[in-house]
Amino acid sequence: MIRSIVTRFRHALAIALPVLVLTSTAAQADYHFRGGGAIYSMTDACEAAGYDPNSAYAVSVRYSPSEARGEPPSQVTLGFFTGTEHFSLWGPMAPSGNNFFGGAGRQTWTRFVFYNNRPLLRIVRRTVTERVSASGPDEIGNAREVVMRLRIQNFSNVSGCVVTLVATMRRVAGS
Amino acid sequence: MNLDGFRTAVAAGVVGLAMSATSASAVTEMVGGGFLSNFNAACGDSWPTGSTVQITMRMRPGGAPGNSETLTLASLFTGNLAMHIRYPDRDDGGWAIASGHAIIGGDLTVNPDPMARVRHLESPDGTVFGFEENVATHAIAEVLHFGGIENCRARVNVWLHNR
Repeated sequence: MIRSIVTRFRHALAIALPVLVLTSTAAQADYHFRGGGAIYSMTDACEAAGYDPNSAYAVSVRYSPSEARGEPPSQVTLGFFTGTEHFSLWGPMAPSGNNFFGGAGRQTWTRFVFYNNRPLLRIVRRTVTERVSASGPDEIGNAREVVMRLRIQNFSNVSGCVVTLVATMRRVAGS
Repeated sequence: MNLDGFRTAVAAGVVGLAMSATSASAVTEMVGGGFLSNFNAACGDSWPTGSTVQITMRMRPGGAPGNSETLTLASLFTGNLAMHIRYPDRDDGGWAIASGHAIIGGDLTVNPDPMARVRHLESPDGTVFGFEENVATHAIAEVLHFGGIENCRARVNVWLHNR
């Protein structure tokens, strides 16, 4: 009986393995988005990170959606002239209504730092502004250009620093 | 020396300076970023067809409070290049002739020949919220003779906010 169970297990595994391989290959159709925008509408707490809360700042942005690989995370990197802020979410960065989702944050300025104040991200809007296929769906998978608007809490690893990021980006092949 | 007259003149000068300083600082400047794309073959290896170049930008839109009534000033920056242009505003979607200063590495090119042409295109709906229409813009434009390269055509797509 044990031998028949092992045989059936091996048989099931033999079927499953090719499926897993096929799935991995399909998920490797990779792309991300590159562009830029601005951060603004900051809370006073952002002064601790060196920002003027009443101003706005130019930023380059790179966005890697989980939908591109069919698996998490989704990631966004903000590039400043002398440093970066990076956020990841274990799931798609799709519009989330009024909900904030906890993610992970990392920053590279003079040092590389993992956030110890967990960033919370609200995806206010994600607008496909140009499609790859005009007749295809209005979804991130068919987006050639996209504008994304986020509200980010604990920005720059500063508790209470909240900013709005809006970025316009274009699809680029690869991860 | 007429001290009273001097003091009056100084007082007037100080007030005048103060007013000037206030006026000079009250410009409308926008900052943000986006990308360059849609380069045509004429752009050659400098701007390969199919490539996307990330940029940041500073802009003083013509007609905005404190700015030129008619000229828009814009500077765009990549990792190793800066370009500055100024062009008259057109509401009709037509081409405006731009005067340009391009800084590439150690070279400086001023008012290249042919001079660039700029044409603003319609931006998509929903990328600027209603409450921020006076302080933010999603600007998309075509540029001809981009970077001083004859017939090189590029598209600029940026999202900017007042600073």
